[in-house]
Amino acid sequence: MDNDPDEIIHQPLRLRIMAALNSLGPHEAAEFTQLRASVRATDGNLGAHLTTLERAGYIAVHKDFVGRRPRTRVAMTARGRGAFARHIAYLREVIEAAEPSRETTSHTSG
Amino acid sequence: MEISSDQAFEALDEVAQAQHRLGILRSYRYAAPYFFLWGGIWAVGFALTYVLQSRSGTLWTVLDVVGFGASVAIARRQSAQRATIRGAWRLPLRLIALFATGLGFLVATYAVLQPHSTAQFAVFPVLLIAAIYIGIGIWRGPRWWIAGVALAVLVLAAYFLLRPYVLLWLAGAGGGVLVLTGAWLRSA
Repeated sequence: MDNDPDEIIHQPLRLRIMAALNSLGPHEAAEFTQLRASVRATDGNLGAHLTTLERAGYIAVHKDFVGRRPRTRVAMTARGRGAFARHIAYLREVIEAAEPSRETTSHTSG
Repeated sequence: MEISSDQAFEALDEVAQAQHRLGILRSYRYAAPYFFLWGGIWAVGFALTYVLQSRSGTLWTVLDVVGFGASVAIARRQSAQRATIRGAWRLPLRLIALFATGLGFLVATYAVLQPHSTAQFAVFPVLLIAAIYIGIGIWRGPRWWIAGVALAVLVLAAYFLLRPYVLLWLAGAGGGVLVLTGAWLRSA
């Protein structure tokens, strides 16, 4: 394997958060409410995992006001994009490495 | 940490689903201002057409130019917010191409089918737009096709049941559906 799994990203909700943020452009951010809906999390759960990702330097959280309403936006950092790309590459390597045995299994069972 | 191939498959599937869901939610937000804009234009345009039917051509030319200009301005602002400078005109240019295609299609269809009543002239573009929303909704989220179906049902009901008042119906119900859809999309 050329890549290693990223233990911070591998947690399922954090993986979904990183995946959603990675689909944005380099100057884009997702609003907290949109991110919550897209990763199917509760406020508290999402907040806790965002803190973990922020501490790792994978995301940046911006808080401001639109009129009187508070707004939280989340963006992926360059470091986060790199870590996510490596983790995805690792997952693909795992699948590719398993493919010969999968084919063998399907041949023997079929 | 060891990950099995099944876990890796599941993880990649989660990645694709999360990206798809965020894409849909963001497309809703980006579409909302256009629904507010064109809901207002429909309300004003169809109400004035009911009163000033002889000047409907001029009226709609003015309203379409205003709506088109405002749509390009919205698209330009959205592009500037979300993209790099190089991509800032991508969305407005696509919008211009979309308008040109829609207008060309309408002119060509009217030339071939030659509708003979104001109601037919008015209802056809609304049905066309409803069909486009349903088509978009098949790929880009249920709120689009729900809006399309609501629009189609309302306009067909008005055409067959309330034909003398179809223009007023399109102003109130048609414009109303667009404005409500805009609010619904913005809340996503």
